[in-house]
Amino acid sequence: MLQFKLEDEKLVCLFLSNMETENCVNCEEELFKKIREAKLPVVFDLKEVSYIASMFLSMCLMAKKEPDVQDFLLINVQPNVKKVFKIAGIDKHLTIT
Amino acid sequence: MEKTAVVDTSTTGGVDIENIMQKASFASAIFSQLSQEHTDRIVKAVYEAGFKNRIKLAKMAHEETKLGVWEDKVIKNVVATQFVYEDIKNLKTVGIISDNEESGIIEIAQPIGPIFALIPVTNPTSTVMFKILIALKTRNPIIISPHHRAMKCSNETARICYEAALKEDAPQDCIQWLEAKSSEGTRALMKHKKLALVLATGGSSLVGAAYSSGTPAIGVGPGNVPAYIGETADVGFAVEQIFTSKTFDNGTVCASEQSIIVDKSHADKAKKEIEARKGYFLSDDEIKRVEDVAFDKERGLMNAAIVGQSAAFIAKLANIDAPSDVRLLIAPLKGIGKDYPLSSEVLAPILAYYIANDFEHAVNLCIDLNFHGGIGHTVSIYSNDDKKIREFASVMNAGRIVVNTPSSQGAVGGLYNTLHPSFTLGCGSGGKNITTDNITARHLLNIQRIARRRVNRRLEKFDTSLYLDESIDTKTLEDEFNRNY
Repeated sequence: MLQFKLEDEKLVCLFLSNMETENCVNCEEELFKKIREAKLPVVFDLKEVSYIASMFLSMCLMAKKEPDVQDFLLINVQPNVKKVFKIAGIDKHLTIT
Repeated sequence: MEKTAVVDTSTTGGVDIENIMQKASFASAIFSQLSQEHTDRIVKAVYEAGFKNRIKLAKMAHEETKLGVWEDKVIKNVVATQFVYEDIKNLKTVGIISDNEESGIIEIAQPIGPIFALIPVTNPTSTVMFKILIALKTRNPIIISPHHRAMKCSNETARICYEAALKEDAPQDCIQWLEAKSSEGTRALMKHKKLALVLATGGSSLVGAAYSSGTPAIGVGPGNVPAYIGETADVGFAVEQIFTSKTFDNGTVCASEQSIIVDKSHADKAKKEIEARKGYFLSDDEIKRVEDVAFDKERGLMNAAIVGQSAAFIAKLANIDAPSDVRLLIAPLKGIGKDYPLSSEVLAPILAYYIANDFEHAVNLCIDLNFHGGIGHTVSIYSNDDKKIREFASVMNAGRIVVNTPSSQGAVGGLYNTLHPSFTLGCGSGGKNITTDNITARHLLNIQRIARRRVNRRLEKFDTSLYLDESIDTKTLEDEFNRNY
């Protein structure tokens, strides 16, 4: 469901399935453990994600607010998921490509 | 996952507006991804939960508000769940909802966004369930604003619906409800830039505030429903229907009859039929006493203390020696208007009563009543003459002209006719509303239209430079435009 890799001194978190509530719950602890350990800019790669739950929006905001995260980026965001960030009104607080 | 959506009430007159609207925006965003099948599963679960709790919630509403009759509130809850669900369950509300090859128009349904729902004290659980069902069906989050006298029952209704929705994986916070009330908070919420719509069911001042908020609003208007018993009417049947309607929940339905207008030929029979059903005809002196308790003459409004109370209670309050089993108080009036307070809307088992000399006289009385505080709402006619029914309808300013039907139940729809079951009855421009429709899920959608190229065939063959020639008259241009068409 979730893979990590280091690229260009960034922690890339690759989500391999839709982020329904259950999946968010299952990966939350591991995700934030890695983010805190890495102390690097964080990238969420959403190439494989076509649905996100409310909890995933919260996780993005939490990741952005982590004290040791210098930069936070969402990449490969599919249009229907990008629209979710827009409707939620949090696209202005995140960098989405 | 959070199991309730209780709102923090620490700011802005007890209402944490930003927190509410952020949650609503998130819910709206998540909703946008849901399929029709998933949406329908949520709606079904909410309907079933509301229906299952219909009696508990009706009793809660009656106990908290002290209005109406709990058994009738059960029926309201049934209409708001079972009948509304039946009406909307097969409606397409996600994605492409129509595709017309010939016109080249494809319609796509999109949610409108967060809805703020004002709930009246008279229907505090049924209106909550109704609005939640139509909001969820259209993938819109909803914020319930209960009446301050019905907070417990309205919020419990919302909580039950929310729990059921979450079990079907509905977006978190798709239903919220206000645990504290303040007019500042309500007004600020109505103005919030992230709010899509105010669904305002309630008194004129609240509906007016919704319209003034700058946010799109669907509101309702007050009613003042005349029920005309015409020459061809079956009088016993008509009186029975009116009793069914006006005694329902002690007259709290805004579409309930406010007056009876009887054709002179039926005057004696109508009186007998009314008295046989425990209707009590007030004397002139008793009318004055009922006016004093039923009407706030300074404000020009019904007195809240008698709204939804029984006829026996009101008779006692007015010091009238009516039988203890009296069902309706009937006030034969000599006129209509502010000098005759009981010719106005009173949501209680009190009816004004007029005898009409003929059809024309009856219609004129009904017009006066209709325009005395009930423009755009509902009128009622008992007749077996289709020509007269159409004639009557054409001169009334009413969104609903119910025929041979108890007006309360008839206007709400679904029970006695095929009007959409609704607890928000549009009253058109007369009631300062955008529509005369019974509001339902269809009104909570943004419809996108893909317009494929279909060039007007007449335009293709027409020399458009002719439009630039002032010497050619309109008729010639029209003829040329339509040539060979």
